[in-house]
Amino acid sequence: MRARHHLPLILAGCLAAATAVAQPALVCPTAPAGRPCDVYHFHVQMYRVDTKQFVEVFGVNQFGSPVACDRARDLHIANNGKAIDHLRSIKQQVERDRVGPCHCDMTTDKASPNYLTDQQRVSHLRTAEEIRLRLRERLLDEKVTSDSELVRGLWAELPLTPQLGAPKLVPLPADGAPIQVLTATEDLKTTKTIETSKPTVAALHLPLAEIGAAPPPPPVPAADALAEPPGTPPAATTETETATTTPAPEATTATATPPVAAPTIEEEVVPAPIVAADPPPAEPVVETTTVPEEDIASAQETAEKFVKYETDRILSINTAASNLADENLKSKILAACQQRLQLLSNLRLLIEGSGMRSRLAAAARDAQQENERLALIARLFGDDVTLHWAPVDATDAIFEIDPAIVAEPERALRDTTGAFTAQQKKRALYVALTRPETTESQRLWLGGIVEDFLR
Amino acid sequence: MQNAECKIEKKLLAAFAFCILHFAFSLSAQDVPPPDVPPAAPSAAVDEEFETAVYTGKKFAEMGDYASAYEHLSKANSLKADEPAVLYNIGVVLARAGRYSDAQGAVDRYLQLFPNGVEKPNIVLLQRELQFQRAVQKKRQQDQEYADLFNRAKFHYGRGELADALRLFTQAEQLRGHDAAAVYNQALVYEKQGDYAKAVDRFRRYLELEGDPEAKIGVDERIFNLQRELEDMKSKIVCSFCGRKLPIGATWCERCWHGPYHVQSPVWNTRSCADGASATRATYFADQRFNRNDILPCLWKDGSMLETLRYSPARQRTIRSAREAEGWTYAGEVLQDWSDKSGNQIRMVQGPQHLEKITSSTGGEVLTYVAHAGDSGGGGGIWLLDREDLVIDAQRYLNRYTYDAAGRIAQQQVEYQNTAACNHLISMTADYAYANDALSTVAIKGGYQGYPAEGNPKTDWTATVAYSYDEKARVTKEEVSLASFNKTYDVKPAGALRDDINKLYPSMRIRKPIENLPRTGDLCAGAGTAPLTNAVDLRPFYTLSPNLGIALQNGITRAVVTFTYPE
Repeated sequence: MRARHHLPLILAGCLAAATAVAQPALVCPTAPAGRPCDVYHFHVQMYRVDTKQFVEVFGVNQFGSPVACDRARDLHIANNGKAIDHLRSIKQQVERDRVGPCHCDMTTDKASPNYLTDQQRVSHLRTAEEIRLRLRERLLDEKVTSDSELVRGLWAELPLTPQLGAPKLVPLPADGAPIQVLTATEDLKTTKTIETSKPTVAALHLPLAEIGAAPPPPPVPAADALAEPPGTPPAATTETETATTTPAPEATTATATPPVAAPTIEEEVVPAPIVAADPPPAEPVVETTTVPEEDIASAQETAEKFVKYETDRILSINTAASNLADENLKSKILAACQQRLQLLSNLRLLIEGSGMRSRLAAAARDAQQENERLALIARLFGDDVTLHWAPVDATDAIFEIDPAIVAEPERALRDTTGAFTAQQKKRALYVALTRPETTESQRLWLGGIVEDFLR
Repeated sequence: MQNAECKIEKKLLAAFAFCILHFAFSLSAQDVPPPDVPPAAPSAAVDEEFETAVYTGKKFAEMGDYASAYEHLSKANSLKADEPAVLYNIGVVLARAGRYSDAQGAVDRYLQLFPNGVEKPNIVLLQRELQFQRAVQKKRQQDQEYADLFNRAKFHYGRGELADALRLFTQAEQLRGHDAAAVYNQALVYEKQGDYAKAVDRFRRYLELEGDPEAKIGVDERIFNLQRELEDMKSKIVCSFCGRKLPIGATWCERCWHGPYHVQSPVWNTRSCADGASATRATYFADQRFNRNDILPCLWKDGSMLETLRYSPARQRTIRSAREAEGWTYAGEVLQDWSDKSGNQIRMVQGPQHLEKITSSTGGEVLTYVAHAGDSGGGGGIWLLDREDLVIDAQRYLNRYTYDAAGRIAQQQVEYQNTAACNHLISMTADYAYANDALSTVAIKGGYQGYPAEGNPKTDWTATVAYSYDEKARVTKEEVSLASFNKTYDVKPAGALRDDINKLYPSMRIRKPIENLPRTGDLCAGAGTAPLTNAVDLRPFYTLSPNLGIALQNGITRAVVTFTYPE
């Protein structure tokens, strides 16, 4: 009795197993090892509702990726399943399509037994369409409307990629924003008409006159003294020398005797080079750097980092000053802090404007430690500024500068006569940078001076 | 009396000299202000003070402290005005201090008072030195201005402000015509601006000016490349999709298969954007009734297709930039892949000479291209498609082309499965005829054999495209007309499909042509209340004309495009 109950199940199991064995694998023969596959497809054993037989078609779909193939396969299974389930629900004996796995499509490989000619491929397509039409007919016969999801689903396909359906003759892009042209100032050539390597030198060989004594004879250049007669005027020299004011040994002894022909004092005024950040003329056109560009923080980032740190320093000075009782002192510190903030604002513009490869940006970038920062400040604004820049006491932030420099810092900075010392010029730079409104051309000029100071 | 007058004059001159020196000194912002010592009458004390001042001034001068030296010499001069040696020393000290104009004042004073003074030889030398220093100062001032100008130009260049940079480098050249760097930099700017003719001119001028042979290295090659670019601007066009340089005469871009680029074809030059140009397409029903007019938008903003697509580096950059903004990538000049943030990808399988395949990860499409060189081995850059997969409005087509001896399309075959209607496998063929190098007619035929279940319908149609030209060889009229349109069911449709077909064609009889098919159109099945239609689809014949890329809707059998041109 018990065995009789199980008999249908056993028979059904055997039948299913036999059917599974009888079914073909629904895949193409394997591609030769190592050959890449660029087209995928799946086979379908379509169930013909009119003949109640399965017909295999494998030339009806092709996909560029296994993923797309799987999606299309799933879609086919789902839509076919819905239609068959509907027919089964009304007692029709129909079967679902049998759908093979996605695999490499060998129908385009002439060496494959599954190779299809164009005609054979058309034949597969026509067979598939005929079978689908038969199923459609069966659905319509069961009063399913022709625009229902079930009927439309029989031909459902993955949507095509929109980019592939674009017109073959596309219009030219509209004239929108201009394309940013990449320019690097390193590509530019540097003018050689400005003699930076041989600055002008004012060399006066004339001796001073002794009051009441015979007039001093005209000088004779030492090198030419033997060759030229006395009184020959010295040629103006343009030799390159270091900026020095060197008293001649003879000058140390004041006598009533006439000065010797050799110049007692030779002054050489070496002005600051004019062209900032320009390479020496002998350098190649394109400045090379050993630091890869990607490793260098941009000038903006450098400026931001440097200025932020220094701004924080000012804020802490200000905080410390707030504890002072002397209002007069406090207001002086506040004024100094405000000046410094303005200076930092201008310094930021200079760093950004001078570019990531400039000396200023490089120096700001490299100034990581406190001593390095102060060294940079000293190079820019003078050695004694560092005490005020990073004061131990808030009152040290107060910074007194020569009123003449405060009044006309440009004059000191532009001076090429030696009337101002290097330290005074650096102080003048400090003053110039505390000016609230600097123009672009002023910044350019100041940038050149800064590069000079850092040279 | 004369002596008294002389003394008075001497005193006046002394006062004048003091004023000049004092004024000059004030102007130069001397560190130490000049002594404000009133003129004093000569006396023993004054003599002593004078000698001390002279001595001190000289000692300071020897120390190199010229400001202090001047202070004391000036004091001496005020004590005893216009002593020639003091005046001379003041001149020397001021010159050494770099105050050349003040020194000149002292020299002038000396020469005025003591034209034959004992210091005259040295004064003459000092005078020369001062003249030289003035020249030096002037040169330095000019250098400074020139350097400022140059730096400003560089600044603008670095910011990509090419027009400003060019203006300043040109100014620099005007100031110093011998400065090779200013000329070279102008050339760079012109090159960046795409004005290669001017860039070549400037580079040549640079070679004339530059004296350093090492600096000239590479400039000749640069000129050569620019000249080649200039030649390309005369003889090449750009692919409007990928920006590739193509020879005039190429039909397609072989690296993306966009086109056609029939830049010299009158048919493809029918839609100029110039004033007075127009293109109007009128469509008509089978019974000759007018349907509607369509004003076709202009295509060629530079007047002609050739000028609109003519190669220029800027145009190429613009196209590439647009594609890159859409997500396309390039390998050198060749278009490669597309992707978006969702992971969708299109891959261009580029062969050694042309695009061979496009695959998409999204829809899984595989578009295949087969082509051959249209000239000797493809060296001229002209490639002709033999086969292509085409997608228009989500419909896939397969095109096959054959060509005549001149490389013109002689025949185009189209096959497609009409997924927008009943999945019929439709074939079309277009035969092109030319007269005097101009397209004269195109004969198109199309049709399909339906499926047994639906009654084996067989549809075929023929159409003709004809062109009219004016005396200037411009197309005046382009007309497509459906000459025949037939459909016959071979057997009765199966089961419920029969009812479906009968709704479409109530009077349908098997093996008899459907009546009035041109008027009803080719209906193949119902989809609810709306019928599905196999339209006469001219869209895959996209190389034929820019004006007829349409599918004729039901009942439309003729389309006429008329053109006007600027006078």
